[in-house]
This record gives sequence, structure tokens and C-alpha cells, in this order.
Amino acid sequence: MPDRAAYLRAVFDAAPEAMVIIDERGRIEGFSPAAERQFGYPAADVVGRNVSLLMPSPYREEHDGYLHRYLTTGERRIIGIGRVVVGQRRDGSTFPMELSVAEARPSGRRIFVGFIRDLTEAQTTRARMQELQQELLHASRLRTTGQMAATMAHELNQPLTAAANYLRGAQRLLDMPQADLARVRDALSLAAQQALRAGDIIRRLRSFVARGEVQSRRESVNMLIEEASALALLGAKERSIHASHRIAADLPDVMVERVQVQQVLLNLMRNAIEAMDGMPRRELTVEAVAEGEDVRVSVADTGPGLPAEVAAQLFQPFVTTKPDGMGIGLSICRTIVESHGGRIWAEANPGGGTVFRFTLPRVADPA
Amino acid sequence: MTGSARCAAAIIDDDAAVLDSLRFLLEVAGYHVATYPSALDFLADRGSRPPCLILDHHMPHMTGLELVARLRGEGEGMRIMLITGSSTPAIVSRAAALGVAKVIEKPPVEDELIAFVALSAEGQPPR
Repeated sequence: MPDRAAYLRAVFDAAPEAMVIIDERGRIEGFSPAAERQFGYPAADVVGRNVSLLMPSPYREEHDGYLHRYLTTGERRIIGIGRVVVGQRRDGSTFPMELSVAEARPSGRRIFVGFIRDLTEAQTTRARMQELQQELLHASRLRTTGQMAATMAHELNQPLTAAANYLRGAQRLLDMPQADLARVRDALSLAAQQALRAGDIIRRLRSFVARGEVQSRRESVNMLIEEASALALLGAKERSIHASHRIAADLPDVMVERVQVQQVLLNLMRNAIEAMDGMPRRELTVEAVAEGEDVRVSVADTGPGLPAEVAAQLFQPFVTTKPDGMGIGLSICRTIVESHGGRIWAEANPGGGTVFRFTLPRVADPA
Repeated sequence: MTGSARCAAAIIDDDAAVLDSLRFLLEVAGYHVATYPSALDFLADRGSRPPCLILDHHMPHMTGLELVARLRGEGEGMRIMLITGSSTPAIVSRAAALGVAKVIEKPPVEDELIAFVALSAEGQPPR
């Protein structure tokens, strides 16, 4: 091989994926041209600084801890595995990225090389697909519910109609001068059968509904929020949203159906981002704290806030302030939260805007 | 009942209990009725021409309104009462266009039912 150093330098400069090299204390040693483009920093500005400046809160504060844990325990959470995380550009905006980290030991020193692919484009496409899918799911769920109600009404009407007819006929028989009691008895027995048939239908419905109960599992609140925000924050750069998480340390886990709760988070965050369109300050803050038997999650925006008349019927279905909204997002949020044994409400954000809060029951024993 | 006796009404409903209970009620009220579990069964037995027809709308194979459309298409002018579990505006307006005398929701009110058969038996036009 010709000049090995020059050769590696050329690869480093030309690689389409961003490469960030750090030492074992987290200090940046190398920052490729692709990384400069992705994060908006010239290499000269970041070399020598802690790599955590490329991450939003709360990872920024926690990264030294992650690194330390790896160095002391050897437990791999990302090295050699790779995962989707959130990066922060120089202008404060965040973006989803795929990060894989390799460990190397050139001349006895330990370094880590991060390979980073900006997922904004890929995820925007995927998010749009997901959004469409969810809309369809919502619509079809509503339609299914409506259809089920209609079917049930029809099914129940049959025995009720029959029972009423038999009873009315029996009544007429009894009103006659020589009532045919045997016929009356037959009619009453048939009416009773129909009443029992109605009961059977209701029992069948009940067991059907019971099958639809949520399958809860133990989940980390931090993970729920992290994954939901990666989706919610797509396109946040274009809207210049500054997002931050404030997740209490040692937050207990919750017993939830992950997808449902993430749907709530996604919905609240998307609403928050939309509410801040055109506002001078666009700060999205997601917070989670333990509170008694619950974990309380808050999604705060710095939008225009809610007019009182909207606030009053916020969680009612088919009430919307959006021109093309169906008005079912928040009512679904409420259904989901309440089915998990929590509650959801909105408050004015003291600094302007709105805070949506909901609770989820914490698991009994600490993790 | 089905057969030779002069019938006051034909009843069509795919639910056996509803059909039987309607027959019971009208018989107690003094009317002979013919019952059919489906629109096709009714069409297969066109010998008896009762003055009125009471039929369920929600039936498999041929709905109540489909049967009415067919009968009207053949110039059949008998008085018709349509019973439906859920009367939507679409059903009501379609029924009106086909000259259905009455659309009532399940469960039907006994007096309405008997008055309808009585009026048809007298051969009086609907008011």
C-alpha cells in the first residue's frame, strides 16, 4: 500500500457517512467532512471538546456516565450494536441518526469511532407512511366500532321484538272472555326464551370486548419517550423546534402497552409542534416524574395556548381546531390513558403555551 | 296461515322467532297470516295474494327493499310495511319512492301493526 496515512485520510475525508473519533474520556479527536456537514460545526471548533455537545438533553448530561459504565463494566449498549439515536446540530435543532460505534486500539490507546447516518430523509418517509397507516387504523377502528354497534343493535332487536310480540299477544288472549290459558302459557314460555336469547347475545359481546383488553408489559418511561420523540421530531429542524427531555433519574417503570402509550406521546408532541408554528419561541419540553403511585408525563409547548372554550371540550371526540382534523386524536389519547388506569389533562404553560399531562401507574416494585 | 285460507297478510322475516311471534300476535288479533323465512320463499309462493305485506328489511340474499322494488316493477300494488332495525334516511327515502306505506323500527308497536293489517283487510287506501 502506498502512503498508508494519506490513504486513510482520503477515506476519512470522502466517506459519505459521518465519522467522529473520540478518546476514552469522550473527547473528540477526529471529525470528518461529512460530520461537519451533518452537525454544522467545522472540525476545528469541536476537536478537543466532549462529544456530548452533539447530543440533546438528557443524553448530553448522561454520555460521560455511559462511557464510564462501558469502561468499567464492559457492558455494551451501543458499541458493535448500533441503534437509532437523536443528534443535535450546531443550531440546536435535533435529528434522528443511525449510530454505530467501533472500538479500536491504535498503538495501545483506546479510541471509539462513531459512524453516523442522518435518517431525517428516510424517517420522514417512514413517518409519513406510519402517519397514514395510523389515520387509516383510526378510521377503520371507528368504523369497526360503529359497525359492531349496529350489528349488536340488530341482533338484540330480534329477540326483543319477538318477546314483545309474544307478550302483547298473550295480553290480548287474557283480555278475551274465555282466555285460552294453554296458549297464553306457551306464549309466555316463548317470550322467556327470547329474553334469554338476548342475554346470550350480551354475554357473547362481553367476552368479545374482553379479548380486546390491553396486553401490558413492563416498560421504561425513558425508552417510551425517546422512541416516540425520534418520530415526533422529524421535520422539527425545518420548523426550528428546540426539544428537550427532562426525565427524572431512577424513574420507576410502568405497566403499559407500549404502542398505545407511544401513540399518545406521538400525538401530544405532534400537536405541540403544530401549535408552535409561527411562534417566536418554539420549545418542546417532555418531562417525566414519579408522583406517588404514578409516573406523570408532561408535554409542554410554547404555542399560543388554548382558548377557554376549546379547553372545556378538549378530549371530546370530533371536536377539533384544525382545519383538516378529525378531532379524534385527543379523545383516543384519553381512552388509551384511562384504559391504563391513568388520567390526562391540559394546563396553561406558565411561560406561555400549553402543557398536556398524563399519568401511568408505576410498577409496584422498583426495577 | 300459509296455504288455502284467505290471508290478511304475508310476513317475511329471516329470524324464526320474530316471524313466529308476529304470526302469533296477528292470529290472536284475529287475522290469518302467511309467513315466509325469506323474500325468495315468498316469491316462490305467489298463488295467494294477501292484501298486505309486512317484511323485514335486513335479510340475506334479498333485502326487504329489493323485494319491494321487484314487486313494484311487476306492477304489484299491495300495501307494504317495512320493519327495520335501524331506519337510515337512505332506507326511508328509498322506501317512500317505492310506495311503501309505512316504515317502522323494531320492535314494532303492536297497535300500529294490527291497525295496518286491519286497514289493508278493509281494502281502504292509506291516508
